[in-house]
Amino acid sequence: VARGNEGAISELYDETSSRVYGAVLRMLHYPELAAEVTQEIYLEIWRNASRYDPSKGSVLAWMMTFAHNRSVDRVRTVSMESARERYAAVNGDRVLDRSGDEVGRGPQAALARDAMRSLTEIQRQVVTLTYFAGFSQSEVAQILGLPLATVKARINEGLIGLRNALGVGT
Amino acid sequence: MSDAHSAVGSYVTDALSPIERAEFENHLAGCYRCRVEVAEYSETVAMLTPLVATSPPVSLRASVLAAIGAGQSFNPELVARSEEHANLIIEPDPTVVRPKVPATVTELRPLGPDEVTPLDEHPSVLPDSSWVGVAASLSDDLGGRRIRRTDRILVALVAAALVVALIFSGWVYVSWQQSQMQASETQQETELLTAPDVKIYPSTVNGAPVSWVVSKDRNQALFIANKLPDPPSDTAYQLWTFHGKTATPAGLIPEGGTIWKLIQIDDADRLSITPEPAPDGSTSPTRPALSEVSLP
Repeated sequence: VARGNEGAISELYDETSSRVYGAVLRMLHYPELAAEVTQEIYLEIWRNASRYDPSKGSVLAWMMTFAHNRSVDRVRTVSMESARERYAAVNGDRVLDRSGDEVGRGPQAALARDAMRSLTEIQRQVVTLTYFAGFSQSEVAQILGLPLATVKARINEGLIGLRNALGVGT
Repeated sequence: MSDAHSAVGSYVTDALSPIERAEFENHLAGCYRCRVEVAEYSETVAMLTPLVATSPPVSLRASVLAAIGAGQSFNPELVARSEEHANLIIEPDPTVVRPKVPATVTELRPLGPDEVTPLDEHPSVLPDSSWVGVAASLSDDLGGRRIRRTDRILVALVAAALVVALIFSGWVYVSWQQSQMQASETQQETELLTAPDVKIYPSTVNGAPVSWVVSKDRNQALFIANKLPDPPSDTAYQLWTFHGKTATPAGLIPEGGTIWKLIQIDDADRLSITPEPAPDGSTSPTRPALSEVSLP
């Protein structure tokens, strides 16, 4: 722990930035916007670092909660329209450089993929649409043609399944 | 499960509207069970993030470090709050058990798959309270002008602890062999749903809501439906891709339940679904489309 301030920050960034940026990019789609939001997220994490309480969970979960919440805020501020309009509005005028893509690589990704596979299709869909794509539960209900209560129940079941598959908690 | 409880998953995945979120947070404050679930599910979804990990632009690193290093963004209110926090930490909490952490990284070893423990059971590294105490009393001695500096010392200590905790939590995965690199169907679905150019076209088939999820970049589409009405007798639903007037079969859809059909669209300009003779379908559509979508 006897590390300098700068070293600690840069190491924290190096350990987590591809996850944070990747999750943000998935929701916001524009690389430039994702980079800007990622920077905001790190600054906010930094400002709030002293509030991190290890008894309440891992650093990564704490950081990703921050990151996810901020990204979703941005998605919904940028556009309040329906899912369809949201995507129709942002079309074709951006280029995503996939060269740095780390999607699906490494043992942790394999673990996550196995956990996703353990779910039923519908559970996987609702988790994907909410957590990765940033849709609200109402939007998911609309997209999948399911009652809202069913969507909520499937999200809960999906998270329980993932939690058990990943061995989180007791 | 009460209605309030039922929003826990949507809360963790940030799928609630601001009003729904406020309602749930109200409930959360008084519900221990939900707080436990929120904590566990937050760990869970964080462990899914390798599925979408993407290297940020190289320039972002310097930019983030510069912004943090400059300290321009420290908000006086937050500084004051972390000051309070520091004072709280000075009183050791006897209920907090601080697990022992190996002194050096070389004492760690890769764990076998059977030894993998959840992240939240890993030894966490807390900043030593005496350090924090030193930092806090420094600020008393040095007066208000130094609060910002003190805050930065505190933050640096906490950050260093965060780094150690992170490295440690990553360690358990070391022995996991890298498994198949090929994208599974699940992975493809995830990729498609979150593709930068994804478009979703809501439609109906015989009154049942369906969605066409299309990514031209990925050259794929998902046909999503739930409880489609049964097709006319002796027929089955069949998907089609069109290039101009030329139709290509894109697969038959099983009856009932939830449909989640991934198809390759090969630069098609139109997708459609028709009922065709069961069980083999047709080589070109023989009935009017029940739903179709034109791709720009």
